[in-house]
Amino acid sequence: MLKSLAIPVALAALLLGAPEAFAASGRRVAQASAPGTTAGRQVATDRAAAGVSRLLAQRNQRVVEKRGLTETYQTQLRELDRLKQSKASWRRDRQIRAKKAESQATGARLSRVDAELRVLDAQLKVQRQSLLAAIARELADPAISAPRRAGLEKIRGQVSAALRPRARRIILPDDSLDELADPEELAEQIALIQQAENQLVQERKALQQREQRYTRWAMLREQRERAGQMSDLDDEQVRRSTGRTEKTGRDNTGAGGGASDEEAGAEAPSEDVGDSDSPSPPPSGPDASFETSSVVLADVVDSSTIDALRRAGRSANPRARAEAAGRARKQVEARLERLKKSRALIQNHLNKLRSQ
Amino acid sequence: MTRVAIAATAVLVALPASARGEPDWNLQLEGGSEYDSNIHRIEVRDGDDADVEAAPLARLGARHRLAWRRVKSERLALSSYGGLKLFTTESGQSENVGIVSADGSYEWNLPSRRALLGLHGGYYDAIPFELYDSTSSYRGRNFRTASAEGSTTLLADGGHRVSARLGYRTFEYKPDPLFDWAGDHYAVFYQTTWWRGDPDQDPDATSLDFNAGYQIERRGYDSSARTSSCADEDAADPLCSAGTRLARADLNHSLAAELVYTGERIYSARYELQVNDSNSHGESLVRQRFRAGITTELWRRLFLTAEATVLVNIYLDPLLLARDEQATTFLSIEDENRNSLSLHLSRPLGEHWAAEARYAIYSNEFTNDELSFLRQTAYLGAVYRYGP
Repeated sequence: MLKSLAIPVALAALLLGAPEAFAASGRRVAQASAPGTTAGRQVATDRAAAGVSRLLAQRNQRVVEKRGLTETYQTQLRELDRLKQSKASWRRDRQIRAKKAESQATGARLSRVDAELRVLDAQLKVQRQSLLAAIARELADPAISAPRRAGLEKIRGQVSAALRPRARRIILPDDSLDELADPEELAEQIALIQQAENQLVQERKALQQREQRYTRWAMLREQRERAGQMSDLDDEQVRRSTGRTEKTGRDNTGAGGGASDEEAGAEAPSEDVGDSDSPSPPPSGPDASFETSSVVLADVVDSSTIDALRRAGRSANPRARAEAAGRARKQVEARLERLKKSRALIQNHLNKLRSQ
Repeated sequence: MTRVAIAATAVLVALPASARGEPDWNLQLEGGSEYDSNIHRIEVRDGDDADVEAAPLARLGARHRLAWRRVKSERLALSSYGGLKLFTTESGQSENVGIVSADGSYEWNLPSRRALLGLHGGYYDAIPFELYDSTSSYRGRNFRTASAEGSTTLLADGGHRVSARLGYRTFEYKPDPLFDWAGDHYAVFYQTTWWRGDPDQDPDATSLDFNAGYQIERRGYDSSARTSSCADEDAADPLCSAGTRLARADLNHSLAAELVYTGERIYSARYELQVNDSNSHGESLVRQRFRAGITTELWRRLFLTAEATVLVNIYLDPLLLARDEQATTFLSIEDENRNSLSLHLSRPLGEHWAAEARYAIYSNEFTNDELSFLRQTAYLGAVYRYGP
């Protein structure tokens, strides 16, 4: 996709290279790609995108290198172990020394690659942020074409997803009241509960939005499907007359024989699409946010709900997604309620201790 | 096939709950009354005064769907449908029809290879019957068809999905066995989804599904191919149609692409191209179908689905219409277009019930002036859904 951005840029460059543009070649091209112009903003976006692509390629190269080095390192360690367990001899000791030196060299190379990866990750983060900023500037320009806008929005989604911090599970603190605890310990416990509550509130909001969206989609899709079902009993498809009189046919219907009645039952390719609950992965686009929720809520909701969330993310059935989101939301709300009660109880106890 | 589906369902029901996991099923019953302005689908020749008959009718139907995972990587799906269309007038009895259909599939997920393997089977039967005169020999436009398929589906990151299918299908045209055929088919499908906005962050995120497929089917008929015996091959004269010693064989190509946008509303657009290449004179055609639809909530859970379909048929040989043959006047048209517009209104009433109304109009509006066709239907009914 990043590469495809080069196409409109190339087209823009070609347009700018038309005879009129050539008339005042250098100056006009320079003006066209000036930072404040549409073309200038496009060039900036494409440069930032190219930078991300270059860094990703470098990173992938390092990842492959690291994988190879890790395998070599493991092999060397296994060989070293084998030598250590073999019969003692001068030769064995010499081999052990050699193997140790080899494995240490491999380990050092691994550390170097790790460090390079960390540097590349930091550079990637900066470059992605630059790309997002460039995209935002370009999207603010009303003059850009619809395909270009759609492409930019798609890239923005991908880059934003890549920049998003990894999903971490919400860790639920101990919410039971320890009457022997110090006030400081209780205050710390309250703060932890409050933090978990805030995280749960955020997750509840996300689940609620998902539930509403997929409920609406499910209703719309079910209505559309039902409208299609209505024609199951209709023979509204064209019927091909064949030039052969139907001997048993009616008089003037014009619907003599012909093979075209099969159309009503024919399996056009469309009949095979939209299988809404096929084995995972789904027939149409997965929604990764359910997978994220299954990680974040691993300690909050029960295991069957975690499974339902994972399945829903892969399912193309909006009803399944709405139900999974709703089920998780209810459990999050129950947990929130429980945490709130516990926090109030602990807070009361803390207040009593402090007033004594 | 119906028996197999029933037997499979019975086995599932008989299994202890612990052994069969959690089957997901639902049942839907539907019924209502309809008014049809042209029950015999009569096409009127320009200037003729044809007797177009209208009549009320009852529509009844029941659907059942079942999905069951024995283990996570396997899935069995069964669906069946039974429907009736009953006309109240005596002359409408010849249009009574019962539909029975059943479909089943079993799929294995191979996560390590990111692939699905599947077996599919289907059966469809349109059965004519008359309440007033069951001895009638009229067998309407009814047919039955059955198919069996194997499939392989490859999955890629980003929701891309490519499927290949091969199978065998039989088709029986009840009024005339000369049109029965059987044959193998091969198909490939592609599906993907694009998101507009981040579904994780943006509550207004929308999706665009794209589906495309191509299928080729070899159809071997139980009849001989026909040829034109007249010097003028373009003449639409029944006397020019002569039999040959060759068995009729068709090659049917079907290509389709569809876009479905889902957001505040659903918008869909679909294009189909079908080419039937036959060795029998008068049986080859190119058919194109355009369909556009919208589904939206109008007001307080009142949903409207509107769909418009335009057909463009090009007959590659002269076409002779049976009606005109009987009238001993011959008419050949190069194309016939039957277009339709349907409006479906539905409103859920509680958890299980829904009321619905439908209006549809079918016409040959874009055809030449030789023939015209107009049919309108209006339906009012209810749906009951039940499921765990």
